[in-house]
Amino acid sequence: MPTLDSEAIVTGLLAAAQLTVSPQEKATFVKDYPLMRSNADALYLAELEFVEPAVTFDPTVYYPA
Amino acid sequence: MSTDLSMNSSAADAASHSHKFLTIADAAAALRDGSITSVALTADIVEKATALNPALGAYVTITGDAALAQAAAADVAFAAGNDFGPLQGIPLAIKDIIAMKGAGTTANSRVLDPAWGAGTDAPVVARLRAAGSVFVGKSTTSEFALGMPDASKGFPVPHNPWDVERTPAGSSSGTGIAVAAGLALGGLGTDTGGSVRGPACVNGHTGLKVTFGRVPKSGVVPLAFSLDSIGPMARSAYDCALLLEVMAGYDASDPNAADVEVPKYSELLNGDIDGLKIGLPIPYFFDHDQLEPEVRDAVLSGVQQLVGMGATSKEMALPYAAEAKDANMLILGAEAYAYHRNNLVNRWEDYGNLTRPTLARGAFYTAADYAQASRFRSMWSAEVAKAFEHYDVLITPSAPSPAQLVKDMDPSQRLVQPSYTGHWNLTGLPAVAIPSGFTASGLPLSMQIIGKPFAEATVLKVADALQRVTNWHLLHPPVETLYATAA
Repeated sequence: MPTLDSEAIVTGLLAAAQLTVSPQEKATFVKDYPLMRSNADALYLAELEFVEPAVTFDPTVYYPA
Repeated sequence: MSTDLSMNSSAADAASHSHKFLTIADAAAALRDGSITSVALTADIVEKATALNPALGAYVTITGDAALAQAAAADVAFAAGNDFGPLQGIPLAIKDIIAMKGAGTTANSRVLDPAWGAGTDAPVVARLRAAGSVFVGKSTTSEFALGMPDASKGFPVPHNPWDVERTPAGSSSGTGIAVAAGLALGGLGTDTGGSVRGPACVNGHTGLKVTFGRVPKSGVVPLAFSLDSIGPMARSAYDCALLLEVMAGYDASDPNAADVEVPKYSELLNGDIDGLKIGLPIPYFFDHDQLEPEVRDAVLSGVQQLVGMGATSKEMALPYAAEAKDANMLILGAEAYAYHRNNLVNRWEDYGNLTRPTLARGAFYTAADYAQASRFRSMWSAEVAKAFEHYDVLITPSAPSPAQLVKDMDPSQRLVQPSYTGHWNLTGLPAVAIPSGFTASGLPLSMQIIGKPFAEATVLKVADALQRVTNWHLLHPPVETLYATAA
């Protein structure tokens, strides 16, 4: 896998989220981001190919009897 | 209930007993035999809570006058022969993210609109009020049930009553402290990833995370919509049963509330666990290199006691346990970020310095990550359900270590430390944390008992069976020494 440029990614994500953080806070995000990303990536398991998510949408609840 | 007072450390031996640390069941009996009045009990607790709050930070607001009025009404009702059940006249703590008439809700945050929930009771609070309970006040919470204390924001900083240099855990810190220190006989917490069980664990009492939907969660400031639950916290499992049978039940104001019959939980706790099948998920939950041996040994000792009462236990495995912890964090982070996004953009500095970075992490996940974590949630729930084909309960440690020193805590740790609680928010299952002993240095240890959906009666029954032959849950911290600190 390519090495993440955490500094650039976090800078971009914070800008997109319109968050203005301190340099210390940004440094912590930069440090933590690779582990956050790898933890999220680890959930893209091959076994989940045919699994439905545990969220449901019921259109009928908006039409009370 | 009988106890043989078995204990495993000199520190615990030194812990004192006091009639001031009544269980709800004991207090209910005393109120009915006339040996105590609710006014006397409440006045004592309000006085103690007020005196110790500077040292322990258990309450954001102590509603002393209103509590005494409720207590007086309870005593009048007793005198008139009106008995509304075991919670009548019992002083309780209400976590300060739950709406309660007569006291504002802050979520321990400058961000929450002071008008939020004003003048209303959440359904769960209304049920407790109708049952004649007394509300000592609004108990401290981690900011929005997520952050860590930031003294600069003007809210009480909670401290562990067993060692004030250590964390009382969160987010239901105040109710945990109050129960441990005798500043309430029980109370309400909320649990999204372990926020009832964590404080119960490190403060040395009992805390139940209920099945998702078991207790209506309307009237609560949300943390993560699909994971949140309101649970009882008290000294004993029996007391939690008394609370839950009032708290539980359908309410149309919560779209996730379950219309499932509410048993009389307390009547099902008979100490009989003969034939109970216990699963011990060894990988991750018992063999993690960050699990402290004292924690593991105390849990296994408790399991052996249950086996001695007729249960059987078997080592087993739950695949994907490490991923389940991360999926819970991701879903929690994404849902919490959605709720807070606008305020994070506009009022970043108003959040606590350890709350805002935790919330902001939700911005680093993609929409696909959230959907994928929800797919994982389906698979994990199915894996756990398969395990429950063979077992009545699963037992794990409640946490990998006893209470940490506050000075050593760091929000980034949550990414790398194992956690044993969020797994059951992901599945929506009931799980109770109960004391399992003490460390050699005198800190509470805890074990967790997990059951099938709506099997609160089962997990409480197992917990109660163990509490009939141990007294860990009855020991209390040496709060007498804290009066000097408070002064």
